[in-house]
Amino acid sequence: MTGDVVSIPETAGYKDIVTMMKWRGVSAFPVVDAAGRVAGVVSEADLLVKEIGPESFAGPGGSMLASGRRGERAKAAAVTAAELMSAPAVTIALDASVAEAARLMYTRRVKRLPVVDGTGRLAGIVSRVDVLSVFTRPDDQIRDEVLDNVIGGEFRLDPDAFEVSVTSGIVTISGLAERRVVASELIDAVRYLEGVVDVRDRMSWPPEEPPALAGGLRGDEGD
Amino acid sequence: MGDTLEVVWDDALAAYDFGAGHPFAPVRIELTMALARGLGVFDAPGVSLAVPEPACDALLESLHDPAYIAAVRRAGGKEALPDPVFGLGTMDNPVFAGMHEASALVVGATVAAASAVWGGVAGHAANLAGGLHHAMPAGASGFCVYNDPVIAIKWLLAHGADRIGYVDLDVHHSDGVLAAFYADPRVLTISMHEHPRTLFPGTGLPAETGSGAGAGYAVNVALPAGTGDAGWLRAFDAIVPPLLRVFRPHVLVSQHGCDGHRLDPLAHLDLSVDAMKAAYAAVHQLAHETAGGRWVLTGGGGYALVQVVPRAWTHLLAEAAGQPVDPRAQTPPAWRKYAQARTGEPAPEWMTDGEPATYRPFHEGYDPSDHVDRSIMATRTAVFPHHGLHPQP
Repeated sequence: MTGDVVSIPETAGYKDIVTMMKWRGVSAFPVVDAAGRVAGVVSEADLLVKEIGPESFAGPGGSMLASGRRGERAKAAAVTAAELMSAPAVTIALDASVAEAARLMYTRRVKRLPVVDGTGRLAGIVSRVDVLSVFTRPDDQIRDEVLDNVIGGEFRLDPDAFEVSVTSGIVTISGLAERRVVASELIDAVRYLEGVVDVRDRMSWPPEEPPALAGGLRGDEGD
Repeated sequence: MGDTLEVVWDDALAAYDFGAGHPFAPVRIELTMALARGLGVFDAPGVSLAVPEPACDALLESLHDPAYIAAVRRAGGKEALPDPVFGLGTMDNPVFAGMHEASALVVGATVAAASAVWGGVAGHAANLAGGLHHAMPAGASGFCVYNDPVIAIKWLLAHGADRIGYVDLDVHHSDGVLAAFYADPRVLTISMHEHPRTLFPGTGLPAETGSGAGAGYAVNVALPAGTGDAGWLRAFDAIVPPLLRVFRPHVLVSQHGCDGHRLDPLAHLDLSVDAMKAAYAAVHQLAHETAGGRWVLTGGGGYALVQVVPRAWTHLLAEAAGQPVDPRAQTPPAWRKYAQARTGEPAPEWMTDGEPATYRPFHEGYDPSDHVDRSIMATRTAVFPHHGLHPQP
């Protein structure tokens, strides 16, 4: 969450909004009412003149003055943040988790969530970028964790016997495990590390005697 | 023999005035006349001025319903009665004192121009106050009260002309004129305009090609918002000359609204006065090539009152007079002073926007992924077969 969040009042005009966006280099603002409570969010997309639909100039009663650059500018100039914003705002509480934030953004299809305190007052803003950055863990950090914590720590195996490379969160791991089931559990453990996007399994194990089965049938050799 | 041009004008035409703040302001024509005068356009040999008479009711009734004309009289009379049913007293068409008389004079001026050309008094004739192409039989629309192009064309038909070519370059679809002759194959109406999706009046698709015997004689070129000089001139080249050459009108009537200019506040095209000047020359040449030189020209839209209209229409008059203005010419300082005093706006210094106004001729081939080319092909495909022309370049 960014606590240094700029909000604009409901009464702000179109020009003010555009100026603020340019000045702050952001594409959206929470809109607050007189009491500082979040009323909505206005974004660049809201400012695009989509509301000049053909109903204003086409058909009976259509107006020439309403269409064209002048009509659109006039309509735009007259609106305030309150009229442009998407409301009610989808907000998230201060104590919610990153996972909740991510889920909310996904289900409500919003790119940013104003963060509010218990009284609904704006406390900050969290954006998709903030949430996704949890997943952008440095590759070498992930590699260290695989080698030291998982292979050496959890499985008590010699890290030098394995080759681990990580590129953009994709872990490729190769080495000789004592049994197939060990290799499988090792891959699973690596898969659930923070920041790991995917695992390429290049593990090997010694060939195993199939268990003796009634009737002499052989089981699977392995995946 | 040089060109002869009758310019129909009277100061009384400035009474067509929707009031302060309305974009269709008569000052734009006053400034045009002053600029043309200052550049010696009216001194060219073959140029004459004529004073119009207002159209009588019988002439107006060749298009308009008597009930509508009565409503216009009431709207412009002492009672100043708005009548929204007839489109009078709206934001677009406010009522004003003397509304009927002023509108009737505009019609009278275009009919006078048509009469001068048809009667052989002059080869070409112009009414810059005309071109009010949105007016309908029973309703004002888009700043137009009485439809002078329609009435003038009907006058020509009634006086023995069998075929009229109408070319409308205003950025808005020429709905009133196309509707009036939609089923009439004697009048080939060509309107080049911004696509109805993004601009008033929301009509003018290529598929609107006419009905009954008139099928194929309504030609709509709908260009995407943002189209500039090269696309616009290319569209003109692809559609207007081929059709006029086949149709061979007795008279060419043209409307030269200049609201397609990049500075115009009421539309979204991106034209320069240089491109418009090139189009004037093209229309002039086509009048001689296909219509025996008989050319009636009108004004139309144009809402950059100081920056665009006077220069564009001075070029138009000069072209029709056979003495085009050198684009490197400066506007007279006295004119600039007058314009500034009249409007408070600084006036342009040069008769050019500095644009090359070049285009690739359509016969060289087209690009199916280009939006302007698609518009052009849509029109050619819809209309050309009716005239024995192949849509493919």
